Amino acid sequence: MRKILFLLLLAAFVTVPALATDPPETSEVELTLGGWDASTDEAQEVVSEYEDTDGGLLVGLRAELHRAAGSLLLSSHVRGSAQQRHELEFDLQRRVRSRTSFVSFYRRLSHDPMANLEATTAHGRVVRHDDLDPGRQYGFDYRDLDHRTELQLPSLPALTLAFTFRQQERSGHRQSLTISHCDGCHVTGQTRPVGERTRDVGAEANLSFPRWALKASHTQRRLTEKTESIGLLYDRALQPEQRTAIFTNRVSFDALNGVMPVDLRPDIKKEITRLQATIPDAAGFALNASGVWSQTTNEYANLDTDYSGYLLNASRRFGPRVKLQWRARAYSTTTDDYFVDIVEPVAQAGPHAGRTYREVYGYDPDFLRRSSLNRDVLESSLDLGLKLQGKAGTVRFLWDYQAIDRDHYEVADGKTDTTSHVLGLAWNARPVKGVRLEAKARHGEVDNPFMLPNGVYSPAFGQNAASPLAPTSTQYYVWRASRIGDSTNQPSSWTELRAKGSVVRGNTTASLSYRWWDGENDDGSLTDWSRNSQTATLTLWSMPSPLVQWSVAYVRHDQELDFPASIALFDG
Amino acid sequence: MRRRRWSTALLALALLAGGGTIAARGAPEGAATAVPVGSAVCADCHEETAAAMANQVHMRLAPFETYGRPVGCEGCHGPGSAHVEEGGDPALIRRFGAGEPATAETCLACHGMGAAREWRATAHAAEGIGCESCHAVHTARAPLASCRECHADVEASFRLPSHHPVREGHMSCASCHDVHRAGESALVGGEQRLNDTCYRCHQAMEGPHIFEHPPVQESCANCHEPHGSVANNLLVANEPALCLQCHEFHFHAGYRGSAGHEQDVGGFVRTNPWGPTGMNRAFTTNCTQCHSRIHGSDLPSQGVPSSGRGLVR
Repeated sequence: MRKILFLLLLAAFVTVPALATDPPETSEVELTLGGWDASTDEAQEVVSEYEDTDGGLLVGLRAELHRAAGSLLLSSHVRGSAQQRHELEFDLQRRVRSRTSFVSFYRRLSHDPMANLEATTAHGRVVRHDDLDPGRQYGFDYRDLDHRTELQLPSLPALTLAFTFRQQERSGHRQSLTISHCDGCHVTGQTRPVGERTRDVGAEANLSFPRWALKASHTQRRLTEKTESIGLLYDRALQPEQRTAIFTNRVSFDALNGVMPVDLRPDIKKEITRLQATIPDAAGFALNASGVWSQTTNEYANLDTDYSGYLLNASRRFGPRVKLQWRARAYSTTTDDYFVDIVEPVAQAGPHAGRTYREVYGYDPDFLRRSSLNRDVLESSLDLGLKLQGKAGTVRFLWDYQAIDRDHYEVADGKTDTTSHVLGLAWNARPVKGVRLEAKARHGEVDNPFMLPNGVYSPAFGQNAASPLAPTSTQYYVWRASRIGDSTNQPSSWTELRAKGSVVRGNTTASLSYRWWDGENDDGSLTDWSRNSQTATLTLWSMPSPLVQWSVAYVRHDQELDFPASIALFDG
Repeated sequence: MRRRRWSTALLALALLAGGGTIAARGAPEGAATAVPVGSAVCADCHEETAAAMANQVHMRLAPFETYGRPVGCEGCHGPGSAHVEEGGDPALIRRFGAGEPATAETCLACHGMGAAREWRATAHAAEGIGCESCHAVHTARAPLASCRECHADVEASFRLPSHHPVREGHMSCASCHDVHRAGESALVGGEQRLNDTCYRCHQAMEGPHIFEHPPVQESCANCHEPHGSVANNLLVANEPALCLQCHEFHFHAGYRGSAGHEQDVGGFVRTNPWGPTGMNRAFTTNCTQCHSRIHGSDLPSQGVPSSGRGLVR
């Protein structure tokens, strides 16, 4: 049977005429030669983060070849050795369609001299740093190869098979900072090789009929770090001033443990399966339903995250003026628990000599890590559009709902759920040809937005710990209780207003936009958080000829962030 | 034998179903009896357009790609015999206007079961944006040029000091956005979570890690502005303001340093270039100088009291 099927497929591929009419046979080659120069000084990683600044030759080649047997398109742009873009497309009588692209560029990374990390106090507390590779310019080459090949046979036109491949590579060096402490705070900057490779390999099947379609795909993504993690010989944990080993029960390891690995980058594997069904007309509704299942594995820690999600969207026109869209999504994520067993040495000197930190203070450092990612989420989005008379445009009413139910992570005292509603009103119109106007207003209300409840102390969270150096002291309680309670950068209530206008005349576009956003969080805590931002942009863009284009943009962004913070008076 | 029956039945079903056709939509009145004449006939009058279209993929489609619809000019414009016979009467051929539903429906007749299968549920469709708003079917057009006409504010944000390399041409809007898809899926990979769009290129941040930083799991957008920002690393605010919204100031941050520029500490002479402000500068400038594994780590940090959760290693 397999042979028969194979022969059938082969026969279909070889014998059935593919094109009903012969397209013109054409060839075209375009060569571009140019040069560029750039001048930058200081902070190249800011002003030319992604651009080659050495200057040099610019070469562009574009070639097209169209024949009855198929088409071939080749495009290459090379600017120096690091900046390249190549594309290759071909088809064989449209039965095999393939597209490959390759992009490479150099990304500059910052190098922190850490000059701010030098301090002592009258009591000898020390902060210091060592940059082991001073003056080095960090960065990496980024390369992205993306490929897709489709196969569609005339005798099985409903079925399209596809193979996908993507490989990203980052290779170079970056600065890696690590802190060693309890002999003061000592930050060491080292050069860390970067050898990251992310490879996506996928297969896809599309089954399309006039009344329904089905798409299934599977992708395996694998991140491989080709370089070894670096190491650090931590300082000996000696009290900075007294130079005694009274702190050795506060650190799990120090110089006595030898060189320890730091900045480890685990290999990660991810399997993603997608299934999507489409019915363009079910009682007037266009329906799309899909499911996504994935598993992500940290191969160093042997940890898995599982995801399963389901989406449904439906849209329909009611007469010539009303359009309804509704989307819903439900998903859940689960990550393995992990028991963290902390190494607990004893103090080697001082009043706590021979005892662990746990034995002295009663604190158990071991814990079961339960992921903050574990959650069930339900989302719904409604969009009702009404086309107005004449050229008055379209008005849309929007309602977005989201409910997040986390398994473990508390965003407020005893609460793991976040619920949000967003209501919106939007208008857009094209009053005359080439002019587009838009306005949008949205308001969101969020119950229990994401926050870190024990990030700052308030009476509702955490513990009222006394200073180990002054057990009868009440300063911890007195001062901590006065600190901010909204430890978040997420609003519980927000409003957004947007307005845009653009005018297109020939190959020139002028656009003006304004956005105002105001959010606050006053969820029953001691103090409030708020943020207000305004952004205005003016953009002019023109392409007087296919080879020349220019644009000028002005962006004005004002942001006011208001949150109280305090500096601890205790000494840690 | 049973397997063979199933295979044969499936093959037959596929052949049958694949042979179905979609009726041409929106054919102009009066052209109901028109029949295809072929693109070569169109080119006799529309010479310039035909020349521009010569290398277009639409002119090279095979019938099996279009559900049996005609290919070439008439694939979109409908059969042209009546239009030709009446000397090019525009009423007898399907024409397209900006934002008209018929335009999208014509395109969706072929693309509605492929890349644009979710188009009707997209925000662009809701706003009356038609296919021709971004695609010039008769000529090639750069995608970014299409997006900037409406999203000039986003395009402008790529000029901020920290940005994704769109302005430089290494990425395009389509690297992250699939405008033909709806809702969350309009972000490439976003049919899972927003974070999964970012993880397509930044998988090293995904983990799962033993030691987590919960906002990473929550949403990359809690700390990052993907299009561009004034703060480094696409952060929504500079350090330490970004961190202090969730965390209190670090201990030692309020300490006054020694007045002298050198200090004898345990028999060692330590430098103290910042004088009394040294401790403040060290602890209130850049949190990630020490907490450098801010996206998560599998190695415990040094401190026992922090249970190894310091994200410094």
